[in-house]
Amino acid sequence: MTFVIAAPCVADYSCVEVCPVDCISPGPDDPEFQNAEQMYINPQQCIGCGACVEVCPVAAIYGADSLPAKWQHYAEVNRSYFMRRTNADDVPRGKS
Amino acid sequence: MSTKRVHTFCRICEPYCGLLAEVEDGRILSLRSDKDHPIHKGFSCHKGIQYLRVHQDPDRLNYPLRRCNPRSEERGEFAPVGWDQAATEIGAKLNDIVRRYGDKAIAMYTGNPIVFNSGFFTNAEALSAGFGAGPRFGALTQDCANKFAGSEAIYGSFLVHPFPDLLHTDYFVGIGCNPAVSHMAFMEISDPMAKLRAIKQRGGKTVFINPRQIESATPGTGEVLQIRPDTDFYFLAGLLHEIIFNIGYDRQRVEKHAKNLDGLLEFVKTWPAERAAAVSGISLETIREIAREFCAAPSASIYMSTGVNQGSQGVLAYWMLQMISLVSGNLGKRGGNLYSVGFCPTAQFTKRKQDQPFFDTEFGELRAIAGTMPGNLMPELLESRQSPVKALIVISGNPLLSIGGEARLRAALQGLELIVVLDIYRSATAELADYVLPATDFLEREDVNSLGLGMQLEPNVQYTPAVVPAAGERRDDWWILSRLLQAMGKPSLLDDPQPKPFGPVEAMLQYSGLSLDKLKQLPCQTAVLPEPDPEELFRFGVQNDDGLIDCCPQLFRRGYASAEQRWQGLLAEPKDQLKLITRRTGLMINSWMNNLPVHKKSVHMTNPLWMNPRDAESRSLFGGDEVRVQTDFGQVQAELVLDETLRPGVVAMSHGWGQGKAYGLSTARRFPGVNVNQLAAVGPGSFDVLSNQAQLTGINVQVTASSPQ
Repeated sequence: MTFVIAAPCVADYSCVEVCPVDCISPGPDDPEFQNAEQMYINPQQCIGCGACVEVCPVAAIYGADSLPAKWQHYAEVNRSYFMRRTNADDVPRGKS
Repeated sequence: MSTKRVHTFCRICEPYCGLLAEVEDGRILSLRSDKDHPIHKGFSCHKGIQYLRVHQDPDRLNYPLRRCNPRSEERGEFAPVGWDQAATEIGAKLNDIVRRYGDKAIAMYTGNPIVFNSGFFTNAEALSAGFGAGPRFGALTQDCANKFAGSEAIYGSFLVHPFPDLLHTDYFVGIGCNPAVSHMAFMEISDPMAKLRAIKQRGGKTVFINPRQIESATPGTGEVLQIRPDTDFYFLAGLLHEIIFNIGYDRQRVEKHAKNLDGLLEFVKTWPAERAAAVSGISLETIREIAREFCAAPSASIYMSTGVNQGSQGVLAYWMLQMISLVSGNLGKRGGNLYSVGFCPTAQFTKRKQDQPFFDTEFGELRAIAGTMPGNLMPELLESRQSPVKALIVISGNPLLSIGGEARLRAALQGLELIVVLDIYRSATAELADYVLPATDFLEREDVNSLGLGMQLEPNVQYTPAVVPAAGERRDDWWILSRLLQAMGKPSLLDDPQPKPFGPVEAMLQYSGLSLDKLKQLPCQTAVLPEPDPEELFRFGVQNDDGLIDCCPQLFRRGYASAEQRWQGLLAEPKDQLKLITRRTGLMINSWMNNLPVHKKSVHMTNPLWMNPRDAESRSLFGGDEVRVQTDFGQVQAELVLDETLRPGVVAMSHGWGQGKAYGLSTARRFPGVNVNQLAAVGPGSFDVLSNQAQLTGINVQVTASSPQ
């Protein structure tokens, strides 16, 4: 089961650093990192280990089946971020 | 330069998740979950993957170290020496100690990581015997000795632990466990959360029993009943009472495999569900409902873990749990609780040798559990007048922080003539040593997943080579102990010009017609074995001479009176009594990975005291406050963090902290935290007499604001 980053995200970098499979973007090498308003989890890459949940300073990360009702749409927000990037021919971080 | 891929596996906890390493020129480029693994299929948690950082940690030990300054100085000064010099000096000192004080003068302590090291662990008894008959200690009396004591009395072997058949069960009760974080101890299972979600998807149900809203309880798995800490025995006894006296069971079927049922009935009769409801915080109606659902489900399974083990009555709780499974007809049944033979039935090797294990000592009657004496008596036993101990060998363990009463143990260790520590790090305990000997990490040694035998939900056996050669002068633990024995002039594995540390593993593999060479030819070096036959429990698990499960071992009578006393004590407690539980976070595994900067984030830069906001409010405390946590035995200072996941009245802290004096661990020392074990009772009378288990959870504490510094 994938995890999803929801509205409280403050684009803190902890989750990116702890993720064992590099499935959280944008990373520090990505051009949009500087101005990022939130981080996103690639549902295709996430192995569901939950390490990001532990380190998030603002409790912004939920299991896909545990998203609060008001943030249900964030599963799609996370997914579409990677769709956009793939479409833009920009290989997302972690897609090796 | 060619890059090669090496299929290997994690050796941090029981699942042994498959990992894939990319190696170039003797260096590991990357480590990730192994998608090709036939069982794990690409699942592992981040801890296994981040073990690469442990492998690469500049603080790792690379050479044997000899102390240059007196042990009375808190910070060790160490100089590298060669293996020959270290072994020769240690061997001579050990021989001299034995000559002066006898063959009980060398004590040993083994930590948890050594069980995931088959080259050592399958030779452990022989390696240990070479050092004489001194007391043996280990991490097991801190987290699971109750399970060993319980299964030995009930099944006749301390390695029979029927696990929940999560692949088929229709109903699962998980007590004091958190599979999302700890991945299930005493059970080898791939991706446990996926198995729990599948129960619900096929129309089944999961109920967790825990004082905390655990990470494992999601809309896709099941709910938590927030039990009052350390009342699990009463809850389980209440369930069993309901099944036996209200719901009914098939006596004939039970007695086909079990004896002494009347003794069990007599005991359980005194523990009706009303008594459980009176102290556990779980209502009578709910207990009855769970009992009904458990019995009505086509199959039902039950499991308990460290949260119960570390309580005060882990043996009796484990007994009740086995009996719930047996009496409800779910023991040795598909979807119930199973024993699996895997590649070799090993329960026979640990058959109980004596019915009455207790012997007289200067500290009263004691017993050993799997050869292990109570950690809570370690200082007393080291300082024994009748049987003096003068040397201690510590193998991948950190007793100074793992055992309660840090200051008392430190003083006892300082009184020894010789301390030798085998480890991958210069731990807090190593800081007190005369010699610190560098061991290999799991990426540097070959191995087989042998620990899970008997407890594999999906039986399989995997061989891994050493992914890379050992760095520096690091050596495998079996080699180090053998080298010390050799220096003492004793027989060892090194007597063979081609040492065979995997001899015992090869012998076990033969049972299934396998060998290390055969495994090496298979994809991921892994043989997938048939799923467990439910009958295997009765055929290969039960080791009592008559082949019957003992429903009421005589031994357990020693626990009856304290069960009653503790129940009375719980009833009499003030309503606002705070109880401390221990919490493992997803970033922790005891004190294994405490030196990784990547884990020092957010709230995990220290080990705070977590408290329910309601309890904080009623005490005029606020998140971020510095608080004093106090028991009759010790006190610690901690930062208060508010946590709505806790049952009101419950506070939580994590183990594995208190690294301020671990001078060889630069990161851990910068984020020291406090050693919560200082709050635990230690010494005579402080542990469960049935199992030597220390009580490290469900401890009554007072929490007050610290005075400003």
